[in-house]
Amino acid sequence: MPTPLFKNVCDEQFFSKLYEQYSKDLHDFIYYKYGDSFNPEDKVHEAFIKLWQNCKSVTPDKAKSFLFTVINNLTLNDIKHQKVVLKHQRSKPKHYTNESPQFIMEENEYLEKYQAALAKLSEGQRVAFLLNRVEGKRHKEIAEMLNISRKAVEKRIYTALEKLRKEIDGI
Amino acid sequence: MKKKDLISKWLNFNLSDEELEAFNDLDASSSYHRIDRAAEYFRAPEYDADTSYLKLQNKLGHQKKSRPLFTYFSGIAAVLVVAFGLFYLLNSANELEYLAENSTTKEFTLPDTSEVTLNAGSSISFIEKDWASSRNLKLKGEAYFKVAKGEKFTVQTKQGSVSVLGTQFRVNDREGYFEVTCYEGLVRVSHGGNELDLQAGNTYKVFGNTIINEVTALAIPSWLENKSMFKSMPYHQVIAELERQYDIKISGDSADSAILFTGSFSNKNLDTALQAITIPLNLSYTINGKNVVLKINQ
Repeated sequence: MPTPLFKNVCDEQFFSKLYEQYSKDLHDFIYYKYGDSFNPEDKVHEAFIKLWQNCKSVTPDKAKSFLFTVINNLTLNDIKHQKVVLKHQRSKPKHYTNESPQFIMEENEYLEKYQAALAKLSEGQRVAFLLNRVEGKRHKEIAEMLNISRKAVEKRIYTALEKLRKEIDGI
Repeated sequence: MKKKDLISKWLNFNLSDEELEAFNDLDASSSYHRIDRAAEYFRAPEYDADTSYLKLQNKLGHQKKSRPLFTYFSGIAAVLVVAFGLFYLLNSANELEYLAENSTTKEFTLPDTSEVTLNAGSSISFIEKDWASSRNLKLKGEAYFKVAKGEKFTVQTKQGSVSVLGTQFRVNDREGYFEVTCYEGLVRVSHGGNELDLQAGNTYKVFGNTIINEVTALAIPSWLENKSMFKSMPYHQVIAELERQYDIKISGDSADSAILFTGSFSNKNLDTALQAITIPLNLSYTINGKNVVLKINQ
């Protein structure tokens, strides 16, 4: 945010802009990190409600990190480190159709292993890896979201990939 | 380029054409590609920022209006919760309760090593911290006690109380029926304003206006050996005992309730038990799950 047009985020227009800009990232961040044992959208709402309540004290350039920190803390309070399992969606993606039962079975086995392997990653590794692979985010973007260095993101994603490969291939 | 850097570059969507070729030549490249493709399966659920924002506005609007009231009430609620919690804690903290559900008997040892066996559908409770100074417990239903030597041991029931010093006895307190049997030593029974001492081998029972003192030959209650034995027992009490032993409901015709039943039934086999109590009274029965219907034979 180069020009501080607004002193704080109490302006409704600016607030809605923040929502448009960050809410999906916040949502995905929480989903990939903690799974859907509760509703990620509710957490997004809670975080923005907190932001609105504190709008006078949060400057525009701090809004983003405020949101990510708050949503993470809110969620931590809620779930106290229960095991995260991201369920794969059987209907997606579309590019495998008309496959033989054999193929479908193998694919399902593969996904079960994948799911188990993802659950074994640390929260930090999983969220970075899935934001990167599924949402197509670059290291730099993820670093800004998680408020860590680009190098750290690179390391997390690389480690996650290797862990997944070893786990799935059974090396 | 080092393998790790190559992979990291691939992960950052940064490979040139030659680098991509080098990457594809890696042993594990097919694994990497497959992991990459399959990640799609774990995509977060659809999310639409616009509709989500509308929902948020609803919540914010709602919150602004209702918040003061809400905090006010939650304050009161919190105080009430704490008050009730304390009340509960102070009042019942140390009351221990043991329960034998229908169709089970339970055995356990009290803090002073006295032993208690509860018959089906019975419970006892006592205050744990007072146990050392006064051995006092409340009984609902039927139980057998082997009391360790010590201070006075008192069993209170709705209809009367029994106190002893150290002995073996059984108390049966059921709706409209009260019975105490002493197996060893001496117990003091107080019931309806009367007190009497019951010696080993004696039974005291009360139902309606009838009070019976009789001798028992048994060394322990029959139900400890999975049998329910009765001597001159009102028939409806026998039926009630059968219901508790098998956790069933008995309905239909009944023999004249003035009939006194002497005999026994097994606590292990419902069919035999039913035969034992119906045939002598010319009744027949049908079992339907947990319900048994009795019928008078013509």
